[in-house]
Amino acid sequence: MNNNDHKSIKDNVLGAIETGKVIMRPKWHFLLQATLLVVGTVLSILTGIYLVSFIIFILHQTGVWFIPGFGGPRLLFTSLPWILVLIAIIFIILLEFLVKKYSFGYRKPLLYSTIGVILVVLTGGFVIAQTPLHRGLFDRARDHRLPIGGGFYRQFGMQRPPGNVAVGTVTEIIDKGFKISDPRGDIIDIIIDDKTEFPTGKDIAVDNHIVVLGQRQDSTVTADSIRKVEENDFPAPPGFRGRRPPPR
Amino acid sequence: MNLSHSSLTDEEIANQVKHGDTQQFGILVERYEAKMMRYSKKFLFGYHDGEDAVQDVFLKAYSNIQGFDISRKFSSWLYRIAHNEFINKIKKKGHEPLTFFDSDTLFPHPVAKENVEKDIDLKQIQEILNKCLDKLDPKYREPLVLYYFEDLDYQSISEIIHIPVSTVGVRLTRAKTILKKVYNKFINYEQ
Repeated sequence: MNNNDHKSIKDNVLGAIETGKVIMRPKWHFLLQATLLVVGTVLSILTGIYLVSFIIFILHQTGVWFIPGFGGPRLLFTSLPWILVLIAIIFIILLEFLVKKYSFGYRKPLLYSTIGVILVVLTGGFVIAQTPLHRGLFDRARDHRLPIGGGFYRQFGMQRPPGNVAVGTVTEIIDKGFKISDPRGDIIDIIIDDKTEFPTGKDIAVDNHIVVLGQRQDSTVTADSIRKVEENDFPAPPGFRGRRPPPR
Repeated sequence: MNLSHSSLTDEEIANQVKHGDTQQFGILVERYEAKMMRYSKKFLFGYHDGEDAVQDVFLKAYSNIQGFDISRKFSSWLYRIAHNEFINKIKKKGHEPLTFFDSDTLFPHPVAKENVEKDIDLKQIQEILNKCLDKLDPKYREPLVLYYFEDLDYQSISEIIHIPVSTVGVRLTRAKTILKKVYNKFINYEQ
């Protein structure tokens, strides 16, 4: 390259600056850009955590969470709320994309940063799922006292469990078994026979929260297996709010 | 006045430009013009608008200089702008493959040694590169150019291309293997 070429580029650049062809972007432009990146990342993390915790809540609500205890991984797989899972995956991908904009993101192999992102979202989701956040929001949504997102909670939270699963709180002991009230407020008769299994014990009493696997016909379920679950694992049906015993 | 004789560092000059002394930008252009031209000629091999690309790099650098953090190296920042600009040129032309997802960045790799091998291979590799550069994919060509012609270390290349340091080593090793094959074919063809 010769000297004229050198001068030419420099002169062109300085000429463009002097004539205003190229302008210096103000500092606030970059501050705004950096702020938006941080806000976008934080919002993606929070949304991912919220979705994971909501999925866990829905799985509890519909009894799907307890299906592995009955030895039914296939039923668990087919009963997952796949739309929510897909949205959560999209947010995890978006988050990974944003993390790669930071030096701590692109300096690490994709595998590490992806595992990191998934761990943060899953851990946060499990932690939030332990709080009464979704239960409280669902209760408000069911009573139409949640103006924003109420429909979302009702749509997912009040859906029926998969065909052969029933969840609810025992309301009455009857001759052939007992009655339960499910999260929608429907009363279901649970029929016990000789083949019914009790992996968590037979001492079923009123106010116990249970998950039943069995053959359902209308509002009657002939139980193959009955599991008691902890109160914290299970949302109260409408009529049972306030009747729960104090936490142990 | 010969501006390039200024004793100020690049970062100090950039800071003056940020504070309104726009003429000082000329010093930075002078300091990096040759390097950018060489980078452009080697990386944008076979493209005829290398000079325009370099001019665009400096215009972008000026336009974005308020976003430059003076506690960091100006050269790395400028090379990063050049990398983006050149990648855009390659994309626009559409002559060469540029993959969105690169499996080299997926898994961790052991970081290869750099300096010893570099001293031994430098002249030979430069000579081969000059003959066969256009036969390499951009993703292998660029680290070779930055390492063997621009004399940048793995860390700096990692910061410019935004890939892990270990991936820089992997790409250089693979690039050299490909280059040797290409070169042998080239020699056989010549004979």
